[in-house]
Amino acid sequence: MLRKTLTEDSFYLNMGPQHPSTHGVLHLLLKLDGEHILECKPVVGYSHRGHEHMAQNRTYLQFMPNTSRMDYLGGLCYNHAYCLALEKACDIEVPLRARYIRLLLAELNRLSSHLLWFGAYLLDLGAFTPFLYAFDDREDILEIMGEVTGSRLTYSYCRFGGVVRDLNQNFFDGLKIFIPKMRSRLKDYRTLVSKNVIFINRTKDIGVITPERARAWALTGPNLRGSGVAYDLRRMEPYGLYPEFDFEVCTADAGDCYARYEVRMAEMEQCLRIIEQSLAKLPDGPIQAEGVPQWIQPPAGDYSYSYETPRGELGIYWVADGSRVPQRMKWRTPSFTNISILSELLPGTLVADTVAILGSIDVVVPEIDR
Amino acid sequence: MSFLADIEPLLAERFGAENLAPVDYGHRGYHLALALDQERLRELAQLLWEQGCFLEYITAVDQPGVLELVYFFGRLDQLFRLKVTVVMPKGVAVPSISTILPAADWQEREVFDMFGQKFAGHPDLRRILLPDDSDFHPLLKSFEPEHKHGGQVVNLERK
Amino acid sequence: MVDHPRAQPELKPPVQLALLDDILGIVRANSLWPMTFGIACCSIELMATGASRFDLDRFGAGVFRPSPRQSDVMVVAGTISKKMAPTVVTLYEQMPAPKWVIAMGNCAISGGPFAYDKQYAIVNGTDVILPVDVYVPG
Repeated sequence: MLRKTLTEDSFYLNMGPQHPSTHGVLHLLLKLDGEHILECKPVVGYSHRGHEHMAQNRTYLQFMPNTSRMDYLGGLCYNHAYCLALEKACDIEVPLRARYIRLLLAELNRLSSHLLWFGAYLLDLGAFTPFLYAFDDREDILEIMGEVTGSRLTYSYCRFGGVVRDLNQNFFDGLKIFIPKMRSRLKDYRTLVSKNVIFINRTKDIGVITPERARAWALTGPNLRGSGVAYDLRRMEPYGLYPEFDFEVCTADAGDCYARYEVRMAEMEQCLRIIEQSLAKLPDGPIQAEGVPQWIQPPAGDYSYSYETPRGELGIYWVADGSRVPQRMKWRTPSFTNISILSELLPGTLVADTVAILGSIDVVVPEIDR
Repeated sequence: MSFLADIEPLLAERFGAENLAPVDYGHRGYHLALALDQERLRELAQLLWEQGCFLEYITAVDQPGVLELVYFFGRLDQLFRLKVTVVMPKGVAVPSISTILPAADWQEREVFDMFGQKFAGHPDLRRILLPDDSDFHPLLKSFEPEHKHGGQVVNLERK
Repeated sequence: MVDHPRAQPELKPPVQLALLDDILGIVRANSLWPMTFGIACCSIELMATGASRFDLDRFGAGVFRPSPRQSDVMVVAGTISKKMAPTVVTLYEQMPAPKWVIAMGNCAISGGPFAYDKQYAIVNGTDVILPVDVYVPG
């Protein structure tokens, strides 16, 4: 779609909904003057599948598979959040072993999500090698998680009151090999990428977000932490067992793409720390609470729950009317708010920087569209 | 929660103590609930912005006869969550807060798309998730899809 | 090839005779260039297939072309929404013949977990809008 007006020398360029940056079906309508972006309008909705409408037509447990299809890179985190939310509302006491297992797998999921972001971001910027290395590591994680959950990507592993299946010996053996290998790989990534001159030139001082603008646009997750704001729900609003774990909230001050990259790389290291600690502390015991009905019916009223996913703050707000089916369920997904800043961030930059900025925000499009 | 201690009397004084209620966070997930008239939305948004809050999300619940708009505000430096409810009859516009809090821009567009709620003063109120020429609002309880198993019927005209 | 009416079995390999079409067919089959067209969750698995562990390049199909005009096969990975459907058809029409479509995953075959009687937003499978050659369930 090329349209030239008579008065201005600008034209509209459609970036997407099919484009090689494998972020999914995101469509950016850019108004360009040569290579400079004058205006940017993200168009979303190409992946809208009606999750919230399905939530109104499904029982709480029937909705579980939908949760991991919203953010497929952090599917287990969404499962975990959904279970925690319902358990809080219904006062279900989860056995300790199940809580540790869920946390351990959620951190593994976070690590695999950041690895894929790393590979895809570098691929967008033109580097093919980190993509292959990152996917190799990711395949290890998916195998390990597949041993326990049965799926590679879209999990339905958590249940209200615990988890479905216990960990097995293959899982522990796999993790024992994986953790030191991942540590040495992270060192390789730092040498290969973080000090790479081309990468630094493409990401330093590009897409700077000040803390005040981040608050205005309600940015959360590594995007916010890349601007220096130490807002991590695992510390701020401690849920699950996070208060018992020793990990740092990673921030970087510059607010540019490189800062967001540094935050995610540091978070990968912290994920490994949490995984090691949870393996050491894992207690024996049951993995499912007793007496949880198949069709749970939370007391009538409205509830809110927040969780830190790899992309930012996930908010679940639902209204229960005492029956098996929620009256309304709203999923506040981080990518929806994170991507809206593009209409302010991109004007004034060059087209070539669009990819760097878009990649550094780390969006998953079905999460935007639900 | 020192911010909770500061903001509660301030909100009670500006918007009426009878409209403000503390909530059991351990069960419901938020600290305060405020029922508001729609004319005072912008005033509230400005106040909370100056106090250092951010807008978490805006959504709506279709109740019988009315539409309940729900706004959630939080803070970045401590745990605090405020729920603001605006109950509206269907078809009446509310003021948009997107000029004060840009995060509201897309949230309001989504509420318009899903529920048909109009926001006066919004710079670009059009559909965000559904195709632009859709003529229904799916999250209203009165919505019935035109075709059962509607996935077999597709409109392929280019817009 | 050896069963072909004009084949000459007395010739020993590597010498064989065949129709040009057959040769072209083998060449095409071993260098199908897919289009990078991931819509939803299955697109990640498509990326994984092209990455280091599973390596689609062994089959000659590792060159994912972003432009439909350079690709042979469109792998539809993910649920097609009604907003996306015109775009999918446009991309298919932009591909030069011979072209094939692979529907990957349950959503692309029949709408998957999202197909139910009150669904308003998705297309129940790629074959509603395109001719599909291969269905890959999962």
